[in-house]
Amino acid sequence: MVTARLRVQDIEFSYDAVPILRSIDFEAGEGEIVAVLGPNGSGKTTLLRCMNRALSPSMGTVMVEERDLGSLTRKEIAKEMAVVPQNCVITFPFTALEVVMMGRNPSMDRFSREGKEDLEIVRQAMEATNVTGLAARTMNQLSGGERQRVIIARALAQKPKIMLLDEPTLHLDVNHQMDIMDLVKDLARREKLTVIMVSHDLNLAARYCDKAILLENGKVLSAGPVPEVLTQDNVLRVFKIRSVVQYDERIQSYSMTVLGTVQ
Amino acid sequence: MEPKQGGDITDMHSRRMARWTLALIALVLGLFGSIVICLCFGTVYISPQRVFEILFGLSTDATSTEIIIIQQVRLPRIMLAGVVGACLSIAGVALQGIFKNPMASPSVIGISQGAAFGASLTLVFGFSLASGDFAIPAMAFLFAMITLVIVYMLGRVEGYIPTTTLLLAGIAVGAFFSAMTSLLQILAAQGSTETMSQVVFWLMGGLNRANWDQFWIVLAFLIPGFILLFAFSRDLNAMIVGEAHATSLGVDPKTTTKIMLAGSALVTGAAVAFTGIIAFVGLMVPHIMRMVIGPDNRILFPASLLAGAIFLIVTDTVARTIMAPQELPVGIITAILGGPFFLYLLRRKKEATEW
Repeated sequence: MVTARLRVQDIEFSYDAVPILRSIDFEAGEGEIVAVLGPNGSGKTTLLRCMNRALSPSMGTVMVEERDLGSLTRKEIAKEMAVVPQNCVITFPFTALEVVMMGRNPSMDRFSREGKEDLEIVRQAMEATNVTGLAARTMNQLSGGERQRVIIARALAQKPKIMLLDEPTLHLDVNHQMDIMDLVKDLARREKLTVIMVSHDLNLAARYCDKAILLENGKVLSAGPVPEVLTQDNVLRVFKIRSVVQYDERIQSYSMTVLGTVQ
Repeated sequence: MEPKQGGDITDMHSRRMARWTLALIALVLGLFGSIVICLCFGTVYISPQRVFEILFGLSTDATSTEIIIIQQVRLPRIMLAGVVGACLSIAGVALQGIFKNPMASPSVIGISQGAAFGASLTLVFGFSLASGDFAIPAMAFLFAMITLVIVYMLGRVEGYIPTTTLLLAGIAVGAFFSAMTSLLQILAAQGSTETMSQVVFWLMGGLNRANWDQFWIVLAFLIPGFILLFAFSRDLNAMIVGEAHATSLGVDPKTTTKIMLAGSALVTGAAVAFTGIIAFVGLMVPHIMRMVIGPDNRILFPASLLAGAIFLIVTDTVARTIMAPQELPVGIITAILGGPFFLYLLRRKKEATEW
């Protein structure tokens, strides 16, 4: 039996004795994009933070191939798994290149400097995300979409097997939302990355993700291929909308049409 | 200045490294130059050439009085100014980084005031954590740390620290400890003629009591403090982008925060213990260095250390010569420069949308 790239097993997390996540279980393979869906407060971001151990789950394990992340140091985890967090507001004028270079942090000793190999990895990461031309610009000179691409480049520079994205298209114009998702899909396929993505946007998730995990009150309501998860009943129950997911020939993928709200 | 677009990454990186090296060389030379030049000025003028000869023990026709003036009067004061300026500046870098806020500095957020109170406790009542030469700086460090934790907890709103609450918490805590320091000094002096000059010394800061022992003690705090902060400078870079980003990069936000707070309290405590509250040094120097050399803390710590030393050596020389024979507390000069600078930052901040 081939073990999956990423296995999340029986994760539980409580905050102030209030259970936030309960027995979360799923797997994801190489090159797969998995959407974590659910209404506000369903535990999506908490799940992401438990996965890279920014939070310590009270139970359960996260396995990357055969390694239990719980037994690794933060730096070791950062070589397996990179995160693209939700917002990025930088007070000081770091350039895009400096930010991408931070991706080499987990692989460097405390007092060492970036070597030839690090620079080559950074160059490739910036090319793959099409941000080479922005290298000298400071982060606050960039648009939201450009900034997001720089952060994705930094995540790539970590050379991870898993990439976690927290609402990567939030606050972006619709064309930039597509840009980012096209990029993520392309990276997943080419770099054989396993992508776990928290999203609000059911339609984008239906279109771009291979699998979905639908959370309801910190529990997995349904997990599997998108059309099996975003069924009329499930969506109605969790999001209180009537909808239909169909395969659309024009985009060669699924799309969701919202038919209306409930009353 | 519009930065150049594109370009080869390796080139950009090596240019950046070259700039760092150049900046450090320039600052080391500048530090040495400022020491020699500032040694010339005082009640009697001594030529740079002679200063140079005396410093390096070369054969010289300098009089023994001149040798004593340089070695026992001016040099210890200048060296103390250097290490104190360095301490306050690297503390400024650490605090601005951890608070993600260019308005933070030891005096602006009340740390120096807390340290001054700690030092006064030892001076007036004689008790401390440590004994001997380290008694005063040890208490100053303890109270710098206490103040820092208070301000950090007061200023924190939902996991981050907005400028308004940071500054307000800093003002309140700073004013409280300033008042307590003054009260202690007045109680201790019991109406002697020294009372007011004591109060002024602590509140405005001064280097007029400098001696070699103080220099060595402050240096003994500066070296480990600098190494500690510098060791975590790349972690601090990641923290500036955001805590979630730092975690993703294998950096532990809690550890980094603790290191930065402890390191800045350590050096601030040492600096304040012998010179009182010299304000705004830790605000201006890191900010100017950031404009010159960029925001990467790996260069910002060493560059600010050197620039802070130069800055306080020069301003103290101005303070002791501008109204000669009357000496001004150096804190007056730094505040005259720092006040408007602070307002300029505040105004820029208002205009900027990002922060």
